[in-house]
Formats: sequence, C-alpha cells, structure tokens
Amino acid sequence: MKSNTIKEGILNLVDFPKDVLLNLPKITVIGNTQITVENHRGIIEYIPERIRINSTIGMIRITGKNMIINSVMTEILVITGKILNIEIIV
Amino acid sequence: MLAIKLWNFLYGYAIIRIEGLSIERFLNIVISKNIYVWDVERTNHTTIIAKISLKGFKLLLPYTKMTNCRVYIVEKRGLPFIVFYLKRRKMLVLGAVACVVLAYLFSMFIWSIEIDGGQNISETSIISELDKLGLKAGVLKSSIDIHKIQQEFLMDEKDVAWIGIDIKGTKAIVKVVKKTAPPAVIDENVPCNIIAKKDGIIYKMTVLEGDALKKVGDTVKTGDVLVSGVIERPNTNTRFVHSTGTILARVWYEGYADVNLVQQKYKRTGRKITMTKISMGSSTLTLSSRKIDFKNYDREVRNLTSSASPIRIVNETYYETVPIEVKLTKDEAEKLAVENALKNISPAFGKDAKIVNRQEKVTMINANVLRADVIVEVIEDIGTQENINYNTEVKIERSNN
Repeated sequence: MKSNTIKEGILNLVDFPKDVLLNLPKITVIGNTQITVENHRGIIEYIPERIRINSTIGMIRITGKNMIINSVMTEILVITGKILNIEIIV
Repeated sequence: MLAIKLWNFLYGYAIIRIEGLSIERFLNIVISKNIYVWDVERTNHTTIIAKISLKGFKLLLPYTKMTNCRVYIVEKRGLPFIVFYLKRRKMLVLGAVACVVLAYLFSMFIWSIEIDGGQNISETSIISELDKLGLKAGVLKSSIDIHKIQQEFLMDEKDVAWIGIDIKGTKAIVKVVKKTAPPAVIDENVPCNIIAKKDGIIYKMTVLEGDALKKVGDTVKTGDVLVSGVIERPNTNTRFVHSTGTILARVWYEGYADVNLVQQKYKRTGRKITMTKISMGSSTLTLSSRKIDFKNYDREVRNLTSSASPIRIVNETYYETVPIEVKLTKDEAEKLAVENALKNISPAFGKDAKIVNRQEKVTMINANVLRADVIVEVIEDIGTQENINYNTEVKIERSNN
C-alpha cells in the first residue's frame, strides 16, 4: 500500500493517467444509456434491473431497467439500458 | 461498431441460450478464457441469451460442465453457415451465377432502335440507313462508333440536318431533325407577277416595280394577277421585270362560337392531400401517407429546391373538388361567345393584319346555347409573288420579233 502512495505522488507530479498504472477501474457513462467499465474483475450478479461488477476498489453496483450486457471481454464490459444508479460499495 | 458486426458476420456466430443457476460464474470463466460474448440478455432467473463467436462456442463445453450450466443453440448466423447451406444447393448457386452472367452478356448488345423525329420522316428509311452503317439490333455495343455513324449518316442523307444517337441500356434512341427547306423565294433577277392569295377589295397599292393591272377599289379573287411583270409599251420591246410591291386589301372573315349558359365549374370541398416528391433525373420517389381517391381534384405544385440543384423536392397538394353548375348572365355569355368567335377566326389572317371593323350578331339557338356570329374586316397584304407563265408570254415576244 505504501508503494501505491509513492506511485500516486509521482503520478501527480508527471500528470500520468492513473487508471493505467494504479490498476483502477475506469467507468465511462454516456447519458443514462450506456456504461463502459474497463479493468473489471468479473461479474458478480446480472439481472436486467441490477448488475454488480467486481473491481480493485470494491464492488460497482449499477441499477436500472432492461439492462443488457452489450459485450464482455477480459478488460472491458459494456452495459446498455436505462441506468438509474451507480454505486461503489467498498 | 459496424466493423465488429461485419467481422462477426464473416466469421459466423451463434445465438445461444444458457441455462443454469450460476450463470455469472460461467460468464466470468468465459471472459477470463478470452472468449468473446456479446448482447448478453437475461430472459428469466435461470436463463441467459447471448451471442458467441463460432470459434468461442467450440471451446465452451468444458466450462458448462464445470458450472453445471447447459448451453443450447437457438440460431446460427453468419457467412460460414450460408456457405454451408449453399454447398448443399449447388444448382441454386449455379443458377444465380448464370443469371448474373447472362444479364451482363445480353446487356452488351443493342436490342432495339427507337426513332424519334419529326412527323415527315420515314422511319424505315432511317432504320435501313443505320443498318447499312452498322447500327442494328443484335450488334455489340462496344463495336459501335457513334460519332462516325452520325457523320456518315449525315453525309448519306442529305435532307437530315442533325442526328443524335443515344444508347440507353440495350436501346439506341435515334433523334433525327430534318432540314426545313427555306421558303421558295423567287430570285430577284427572275421576272415575276404578283397575284392575290385572298379575295378582297384593294385598299392601297404600292407598286415598286411592274405594271399594276388592278387599281384601288377593285374587287379581286384569289389567283388574280395584281401586278404584272410583263411590261409592254408601244414602240418598245416587251420587258420582263421582277415585280415588287405591297397590295393592301380589305378582307372579310366570318366565324362563330357557341356558349352554353350553364357552365360546369369545380369547387374545392376543403379536403386535401399533401405529398412530397423527391426526384433526381428521371426517377421519382413519392412520400405520401395515402392514395389520392378524389374523383376530381386540383393540383398545386410548390418547388422547395432551387431550379439549379440536381435533386428536386416538390410539394404537391391535391384539393378535392366537386362539379357545380354556374349559370352565366346573358351579358357575360355574349362577351364570352364573341371572344371565342374572334379566337376561332384569328388564325386565318396573318399577324400583321389590322382589324378595322367588326360586326357581331348574337342569337339564342336554343334555351341554353347562345351563338355569336362575327364578321371581321381586316386590312392585310394579299400579294404573293409567282413566276410568269412563259408559255403564253414567250409566244408574244417571238411574234413581236
């Protein structure tokens, strides 16, 4: 953990994208229709009203309506549907 | 996104149904093994419908056993399956290929020739002439040199002013314009008479050359010689001149027109249909919500694009109309009838004729129909030049000698 804080300090200094080196998930939301989660650690639960995704910072819980997993790859997960709520549960 | 779809289509994919209790676990394993899955949709508590590539599907079996899931194929899509299907239907493919090839082959020839020209042109002679030059049905399109045929055609057919050959698909459209022969103007050195081309009373004569045979006030008939080109004077030889001059005469024209007092007119009912037409070249696309089912209608056309643009968008409005009967008053009907009668006469006299007098007589020929008889007196040039008939004249000259 200490190495992480040192890393963070250096990154703040050189203004480098954090998600690449710190191994953090990158969540991109487009309107309320699409969410892209990069650098995820697998799906915990999927029903059309709720999707829970594991990640290095904890669990990402997305609630909405008629959600579909548009594509799943080892790194990227794309969800479409009507998104109502995004929570990060540590 | 399109690129991915195309890729999936080319390599083939399957729509699968996964049933089981730990579907999320199954998905995670599939993801971790780098198998691409997309459009994952949960239909109920224990089933998921997803799409998977053909290659990925083959690797799926061990993981279904691991997670106690069952995988069913709902549908197979993509090029590999189409190819597989067509392999069993070889004749179908052969037929399709033959169809395309034949269509291409037959479009390389000219199959019909359409002649578009004036009324007084015989199509058969043009077709036979084109045949001789190498443009006929069944000829390869690439073997035709349009420019050369046009030139040779013009050289062979002297009475054709212009020919345009346009090849559209398998049809050759030939447009021919015939030379219009210039009016037979008698050469200035050739002696001639002036004769009357209409009946009338001479109003004014201006004779520049020749001997006037009639004088102002004379009544002349069509064909009468007005100015003679043969000048005979006592004690001199007979001279022949090219007569010129204008002979104005009063000419009468008669005509009539009937007008029905009850006229049918169309009145708009208020119902209308608006449609938009998009046209490019000769093809038109009509955007309309319904068909025009009006018995009678007015059409209003509004152009939305500038006249220069290649694509024309036109807004057309159709108004439904109903016929109604309108009764004209006698005055209105009279005016209309006289107007129509004049219109009927006017082609008979030339443009430079001057109307000097007009007589109108209006009668009712039955309860509803009114007739206007119009007599118009015009002053116009009735002279026309004509060659001297030498048979008689030459004899005179000889006898004189």
